Amino acid sequence: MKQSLVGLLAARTFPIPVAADVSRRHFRLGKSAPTDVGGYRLLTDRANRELSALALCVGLALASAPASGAVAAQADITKLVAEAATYQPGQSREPFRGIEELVRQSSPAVRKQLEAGLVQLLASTSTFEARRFACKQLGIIGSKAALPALGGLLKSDETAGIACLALTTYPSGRADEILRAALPSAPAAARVQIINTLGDRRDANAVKLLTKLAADADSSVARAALASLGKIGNPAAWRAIEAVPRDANSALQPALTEATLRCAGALASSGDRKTATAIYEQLLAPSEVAYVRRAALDALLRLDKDQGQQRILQVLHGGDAALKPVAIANVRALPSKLASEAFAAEFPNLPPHEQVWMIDSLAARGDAAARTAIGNRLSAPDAVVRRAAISALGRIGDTWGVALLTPALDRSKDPEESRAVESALIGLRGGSQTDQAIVAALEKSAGNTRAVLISALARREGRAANGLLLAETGQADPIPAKAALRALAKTGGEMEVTPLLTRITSTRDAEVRSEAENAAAQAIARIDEPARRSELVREALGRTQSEESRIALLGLLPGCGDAPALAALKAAAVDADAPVRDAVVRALADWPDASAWDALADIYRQPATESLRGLALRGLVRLAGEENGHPGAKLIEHYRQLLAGARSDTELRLILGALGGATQPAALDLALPLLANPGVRAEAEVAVKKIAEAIKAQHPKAAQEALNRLQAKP
Amino acid sequence: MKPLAPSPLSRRQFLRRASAAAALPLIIPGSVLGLNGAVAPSNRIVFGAIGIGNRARDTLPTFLSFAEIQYLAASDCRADRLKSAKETVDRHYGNQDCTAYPDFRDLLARKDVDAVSIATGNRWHGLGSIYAARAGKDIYCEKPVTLTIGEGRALVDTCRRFGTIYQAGTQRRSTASYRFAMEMVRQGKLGRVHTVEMQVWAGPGIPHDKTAPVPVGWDYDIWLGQTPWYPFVPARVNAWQYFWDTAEGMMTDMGCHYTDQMQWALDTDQTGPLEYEAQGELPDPAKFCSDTLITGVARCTYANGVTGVMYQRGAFKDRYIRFIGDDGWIQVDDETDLVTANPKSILSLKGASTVGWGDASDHVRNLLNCIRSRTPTSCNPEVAHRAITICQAWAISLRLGRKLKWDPVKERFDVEEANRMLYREPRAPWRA
Repeated sequence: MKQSLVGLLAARTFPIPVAADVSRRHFRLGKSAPTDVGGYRLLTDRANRELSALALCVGLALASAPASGAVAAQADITKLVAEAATYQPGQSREPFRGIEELVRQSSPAVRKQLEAGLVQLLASTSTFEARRFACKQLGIIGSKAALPALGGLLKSDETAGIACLALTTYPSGRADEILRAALPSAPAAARVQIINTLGDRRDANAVKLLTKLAADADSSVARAALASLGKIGNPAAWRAIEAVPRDANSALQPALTEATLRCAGALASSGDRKTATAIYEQLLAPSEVAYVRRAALDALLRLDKDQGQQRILQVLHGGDAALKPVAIANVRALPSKLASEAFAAEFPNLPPHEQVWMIDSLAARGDAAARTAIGNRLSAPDAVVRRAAISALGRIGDTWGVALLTPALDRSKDPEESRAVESALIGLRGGSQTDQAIVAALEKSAGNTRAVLISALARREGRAANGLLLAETGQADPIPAKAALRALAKTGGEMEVTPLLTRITSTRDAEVRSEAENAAAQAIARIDEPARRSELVREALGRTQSEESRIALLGLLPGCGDAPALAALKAAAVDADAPVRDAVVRALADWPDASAWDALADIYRQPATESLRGLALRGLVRLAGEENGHPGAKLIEHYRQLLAGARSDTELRLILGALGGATQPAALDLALPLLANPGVRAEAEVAVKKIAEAIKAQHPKAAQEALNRLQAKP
Repeated sequence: MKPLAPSPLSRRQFLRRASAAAALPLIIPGSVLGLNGAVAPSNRIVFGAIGIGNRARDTLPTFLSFAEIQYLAASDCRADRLKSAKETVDRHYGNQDCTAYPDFRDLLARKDVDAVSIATGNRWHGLGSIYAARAGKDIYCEKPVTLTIGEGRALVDTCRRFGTIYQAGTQRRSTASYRFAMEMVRQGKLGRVHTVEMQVWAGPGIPHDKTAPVPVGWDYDIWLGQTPWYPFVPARVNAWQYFWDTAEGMMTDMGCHYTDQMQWALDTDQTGPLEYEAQGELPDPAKFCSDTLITGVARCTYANGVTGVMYQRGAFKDRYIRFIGDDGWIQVDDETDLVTANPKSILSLKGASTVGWGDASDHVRNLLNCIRSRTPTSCNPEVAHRAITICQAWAISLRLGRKLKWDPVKERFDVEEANRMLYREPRAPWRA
C-alpha cells in the first residue's frame, strides 16, 4: 500500500512543497493585493504562502499522473476496495481517504473503474461502515451503472437509509424507477425512507403509489406519503391530499396540514392561483389552529391581486386577534401609493400595541404619508406608541426629522423618552445638514432640550458642530458647558485641542475644568503624531501661571509621551509649589515608557514625602512589569534597585508581583532569597514558580532547582 | 493532537452581546408590560428548550432572565442533561412546572408551547427547526443553522410556509463592536471595500476510537438524528464538530459567524458570492478518525469583485474579521470585541443607525418583539441560510478539490458533482 499511487497520495496529505503542477491548482490571491493600507500586503503575502504550504494532495498527484494512470489506478482501486471492505471504527481510514481522493479527480476512465469498485464495496460481505462510505461516494459520482446495486440495498431496513443517501440527488431518472420498484416489497422502515426520498426527488410518477400509501394502516407510512405528495405538489397530488379525511384529533392531521400548505404553495407557484386561494381560504377557518390561520393569511396576501390591501383592512376590522399582527406586518409590502394614507387612518381604531406594529410597518414604507402619520403619533397619549414613533423616525428620518423630534423633546417629561429622542436624533441621516438643523434648533432651545440636543450632536459624527460646542463651553451656566465638553470629548480633534486647553486655564469651576481636561485628553489622543500633541500642551503650559491650570496641563503630558514632554515634566519637578511637584510625580508615574525610570527612581530614593515615594514606587513597578517582555541585565538591575529600596513587606509584595513576570534566570536570584522572609513567602513562592515555569524550556536545571527550593520547609 | 477548543462563546460574552447597546430605544408593546416591568402570565411567551448541552448552559439562563419568557418544557436525548435542565428551569421559577421530554417531538406536540430555543448539536439545528416550524412554534436556533445548502433552503421555505418567526444565534449582529464595523463599511468610511478577511482557529485531529456501549440514559438514535447510522464511538460522539456527517469543522461551525458579518456589512443578505474555492490540511487518516480541516484557507468572490478570505489557523483566541477598503481597514477581534482600524481616526466616527434593525441591539429582545409583531428577525432564515451557504459551498469545493461557480438565484453550482452534494437525505423517519 505505501508504495502504491494511493499510498503516495496519503503520504502527501500533509503540507508539501509547491511544485509547478501543484501551484496551478492554487488560489491566485496575489492579483488582488493592491493596497497601501497598513498590514494588508503582509497578510496577503502570508495568505499566498499559506495557500502554497497548505496544498492538500486532493487530486493533485492524479492531475499530473502519466497517461497510463488509469491502468495503475485500476490495481490501486482493487486494493483500496479490498482494504476498505473490512473497515471497522478504530482502524486507519487510509483506504477511505484514498478513495475520496480518487473521487475528486475527473478522469472519466478512472472514475468508471472507481464506480465499479464502489459497487463492489456495497456487497454484503463488506462491513456496514464500508457500504455506508461507498453510498456517500456514489452519491457524488454514481452513474446508472451503480443503480442496480443501490436498488438492492433498498430491500433492507438496515441499508435503505444509506442507499437513499446516494439516490436522493442522483441525476438519472432511472433512480426514480428503482425507488418505486423497491417500494411495494420493502420492509416498514425502508418504506418510509423510500417514500421520503421519492418526495425529495419530486417524482410525479410516484403519486399513484403514494396516494395508496397515504391510507396505509401504518401511520408512519401514511404520514410520509402525505408529506411526499405535498412536496410533489401537482394537481394529482392535491387530489390525493384533498381526499384524505380531516380530523383534528387524527395522528395524520399535522402531516395533512403540512401537505396541504406545501401543495397550495406549489400550485400557486405553478400558476394555479385559483386552487391555491381556495385551499388557503379553507385554512383560514376558525376551526384551524392559530399558526395555520396565520400561515394561510400570509400566503393569501401574496396571492391577492392588490397584494392583500383589502384583506388586511378586513382583518383589522374583524375579531381574529391572531391574524392582526400578520396583517399589519404585511402593510409594509403593499404596492399601492395610497396604502400609507389608508392605514394611517386606522390608527384611532387600533389598540396601542397594534399602533406600535403599524408604526413599524409604515416606517418600512417610508413615504411622505407614512412619515406624516408617524410624526402625528409623537403626540399620542400612550407612551409606548410615542416611543415607537420616536424610534421609527430615528431609523427613517433625515434632516426633516429634527423639526418633528425637537418639539417632542420639549413636551417630554419622561427621562426615558428624552433619551429615546436623543437616540433618534443621533440616528437621523443627512450628515452635516442634519447637524446644522440641530444647531439651529439648539439656538432656540433651553434647559433639558438644549442639553439633549448638545449630547445628540456629540454622538453624531458632528464635527460641523464643534465650533458651536466650543462656544457653549464658555457658558456661565456650568450644565450646558459640561454637556458641551462631554460632547467634545467624543468629537474633538487637533483643531479643538488648543481651545480646550484654554478652557482648562480660564475656568474657575473645578467640575468644568475636570470635564475640559478629559475632553482635551481625548482630543489629544486623536492626534497621530506625539510631537504635535506635546507641542500643543507645552505651549499652553508656557502661557499659564495658575497653579490649578499647571497641574491640569502637567497631567496631560503622559498622553503626549515624547522626550520634550518628559523634559517639561522634569523641569516642573523643582517648582516652588508643592501641589505642582505632586502633579509631576503623578504624571511621571503614568509615563508610558521606561524613559521616566531614572526620574522616578530618584524620587523613590530621596522622596520629599512618603506619599510621593509610594506613587513613585507604583509607577516603577508598573514600568518594570511592562519591561518584562524585554529581558536583560538592565531590567534585573531595575528590580534590584526596587528591592533594595523597599521599606516594608507590603512594598516587597508589590515588587514580587511584577518580578514573577520576568522570564530570565537572574530573576530567580532575586526572588529566591525572599522565600526566607515569612511576611512575603507566599508571594515569593508564586513569583519563583512563575519564573521557573517560564524559563524551564531554556534553563531546565535552574528552573528545577528553584522549584525544588519551594518544596523545602520555610 | 491539539486540545479541543473551549466553547466558542462564554455566557459572559453572550450576555454582553445580548445586551449590547441596551440604551437604544426598544419597541415593547404596551399590552405586554405591566407596571414595573412585571408581565402578566397570559402575556408571556411560553418556551421549550430543545438540546441542553454546553451551549444551552450558556444561553438558557439569559433567556430565563427575560420576564416575558416562561419555560415550561425541556428536551434532550441524554437523561443527565435533561435532568439538569429541568432543575435549572424549576430553580429559576421556584416550582416544578418544567416537564422533561427525552423525545423533542413530545415537546413540540404541546399546544401551550409557543416557541422553542434549539441548542442541539449541529446535525439537529436545521431539521429540529423544520420540525418545530411544522408544529407551529417560533424558533431561536443556534448556528450553524443547517448541515447542507439544501436543508437551508428547506428551512427557509418551511418557515415561510408556516409563518414562523425564526432567529439564528448569530448574536454578533447585536454586538456594538460588529455593528460599528458594519456601519463603517456601509457608510463608505473605508472607501471601496475590496476584501473581507476572516479567521477561525485551527481544528484538532480526533484519534481513532473503537465502538462502545451506548451510555445508560442516552437515546442514541435521536442523538444521531438525520445522519447516516454509525455505531456509538465515543470519540466521534464527543467531538462531533469535526466529522463531515455531523458537522463540517470550525470553518463552518464558527466561520458562519463571520460570513454572516460579511454578508451584513456588504448588504448581500438576500444573495451571496458567485465563486468559491477552498483548500486545506485534513487529519492524517492513519492516526485520526475525524475528517474535517485542521488548517485551511478559502476564498469567495461577489459579483462586484469583493473577495472574502477565510483562514483556519492559529489559536482559538486569534479569531477576527477585517474589512479592507481603498481608504482603510477595520477589524474586530472576536475574543475581546476590540475594534482596531487604519487610519485610527475611523474609531472616532459615530456608529449611527443608518441601517434598519433598530431592535437588533438586543438579540433576545429582537426575537420577542418579532414574535409578537410577526415580523422577520434580524437573523431570519433567509439571512442565516445565505451566510452558512458560503461555508457549505467552501466545504463542497474542498471535498471536490475544485473551484466552483454558484448561481445565488437558482442556488446551483456549475458542476454536477457539487450539485449532488447540495443535500443529504435524512435517515428515516426524519425528513426535511
